[in-house]
Amino acid sequence: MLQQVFNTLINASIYALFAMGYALVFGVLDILNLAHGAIFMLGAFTAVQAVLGWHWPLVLAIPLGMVVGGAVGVVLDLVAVAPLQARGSGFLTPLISTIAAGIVFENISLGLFGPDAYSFPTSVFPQTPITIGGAVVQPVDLFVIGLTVCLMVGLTAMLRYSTLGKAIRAVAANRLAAQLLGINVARVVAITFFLASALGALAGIFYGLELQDSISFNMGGSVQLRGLAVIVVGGMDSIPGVMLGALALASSETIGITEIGSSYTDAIAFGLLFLILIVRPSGILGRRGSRVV
Amino acid sequence: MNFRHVRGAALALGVTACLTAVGQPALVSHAGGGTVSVGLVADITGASSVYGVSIRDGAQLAADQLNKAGGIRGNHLNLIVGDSATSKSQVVNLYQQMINSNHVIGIIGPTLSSEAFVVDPIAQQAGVPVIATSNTAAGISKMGNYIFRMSLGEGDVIPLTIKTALSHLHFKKVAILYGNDNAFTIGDNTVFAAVAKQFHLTVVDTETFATGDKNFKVQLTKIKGAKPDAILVGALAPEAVLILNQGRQLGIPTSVHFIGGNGFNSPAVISGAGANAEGAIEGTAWFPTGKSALNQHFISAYKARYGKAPDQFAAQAYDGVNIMAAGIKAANTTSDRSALRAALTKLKNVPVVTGASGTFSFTPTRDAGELGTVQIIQHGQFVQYT
Repeated sequence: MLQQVFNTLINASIYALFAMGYALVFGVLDILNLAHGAIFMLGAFTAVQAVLGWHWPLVLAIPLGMVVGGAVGVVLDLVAVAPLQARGSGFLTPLISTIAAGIVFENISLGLFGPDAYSFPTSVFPQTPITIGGAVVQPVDLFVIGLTVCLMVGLTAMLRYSTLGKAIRAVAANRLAAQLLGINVARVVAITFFLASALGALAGIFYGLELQDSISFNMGGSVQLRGLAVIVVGGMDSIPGVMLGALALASSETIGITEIGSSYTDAIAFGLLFLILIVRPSGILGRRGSRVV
Repeated sequence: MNFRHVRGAALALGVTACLTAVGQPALVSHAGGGTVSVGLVADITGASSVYGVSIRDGAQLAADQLNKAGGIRGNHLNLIVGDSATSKSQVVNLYQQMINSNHVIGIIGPTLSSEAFVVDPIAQQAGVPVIATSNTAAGISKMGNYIFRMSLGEGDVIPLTIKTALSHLHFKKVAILYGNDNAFTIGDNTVFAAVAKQFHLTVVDTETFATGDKNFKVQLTKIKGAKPDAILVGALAPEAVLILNQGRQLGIPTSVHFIGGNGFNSPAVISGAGANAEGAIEGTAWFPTGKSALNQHFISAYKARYGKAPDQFAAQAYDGVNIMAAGIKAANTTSDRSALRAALTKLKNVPVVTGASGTFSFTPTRDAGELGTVQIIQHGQFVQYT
């Protein structure tokens, strides 16, 4: 029914925004940024601190959260990733480095905000429910879905048509060749981290807006796992793949709850992941051996 | 003998000992002369802190009042408070520390039934009496003859809750939503299903979630589609708040009441769910206007010390300390654990603030010998519902 479609789209939007961060970083750098869940959390905390603590309007708090998230991503790159890559380390060492950074970020949050859960006040969004067909949606739901769709379209267009987008795809395709062609690879990498982390931060803000009492220092944990599932299903470095994977995962969770029973949601979601790994390990839209960002 | 090996082994042993000492959870204790030590294990931080903080506050109030009145037979009651942080491994650490290092005569706790099933067998084996003040799942006292429970079990309270709700609301169809990974919430489902059968109610849908889940919209959408007259919820406070909020936001009409188990008895449910908590019904062991003579003294002393009104969990912990003290007094000992155990079983009519009658005894199966009442959330308050 239509209500479940909306429930699915909301979850898919958050998963897609979050997983986009993984896909961008993996496409350009071939590494998995496992601090992404912590950045998801920091984005949400920044926005809720702005709204609750400094009384900013939501329309300013969201960009602030994204910028802070992006900045943390750049710091992560400069401190934890780039120095290791400069020394020619492979896939594993930067991965471990990002895990460590994630733990540091979580504990900073724990120290600053404590273990309690926070919410955006209900006053930030009109609470009047809107009835569409048979479904009851809140204005914030339409905002989340709408903004996500716009961002996905904008990101795809930027990557295909803008100079920066072409530079990112060039670095993703062949780092050395891009450097030889005069592209400032370090700058492109930093910008990619900024973009990826800003999107992850926005996903965190949406998560906090959608669900009360959900902003806490360890909120990144469950989404992190689902984000990984999304990119494996969709293709590790494919943007349309991320969107497809997010829809697939969110749909399988909803179908799992409605048809089979809520006890089996995780089993179904990760069963799908397992199936894809067996049948098509590069993901639905991923391409083995070549890069398509 | 090769001394290098001996030195290496000694160093390793020393480091291990230091790490173990550092890894001990933090304890707060009061020093004393002729002293009897009782441990309090509660989730003061972590997901169940809404319960644990109240438990600690109620227990400390009781202990301080006892000591001001001269202690237990002149002995100072040393209440050692340990924070189990809603972590099963931390509860185990605390129990072992209190039993072996602090030599407590008994333990009050832990906060969650799921923690109790892990840790009370340890106390049973060590011969240390445990009084549970907030465990309400079935089977707690069955773990052994050293395990006592003064909190009312869900199996006692939920039938009364649903019977009372039926007398007002006359519903026929119910849906059940419960957490399938926690002993307390699973217990709620078992009791809900049995009571529904007993009262000839139709269960139109049963949905589950996991502790720590934040998004219940898919389950609630499905429940809404099944059109129940009432929704029975087995959840702890953090999930209960989200379920109430999301259920109303999805448009479940206010004529469909949420009926909860013991997890709903925290003021955190009212503050978290706000207007969406209106009409939620739950059974409780304690009520602010309860008949007990002690009750009003307890409420004013609690307010004076902590600046806020007590809740059911604080009241139960307050009673827990007093029941433990009554047992220690009757056993006339400061360290004999088996004498304490025997004395607890024989206790009669201990004055308490919980329950309908104002006095307490353990049942022959070491469960709570008192009756509960039902309450409903109206205008942001718990109101008695009879």
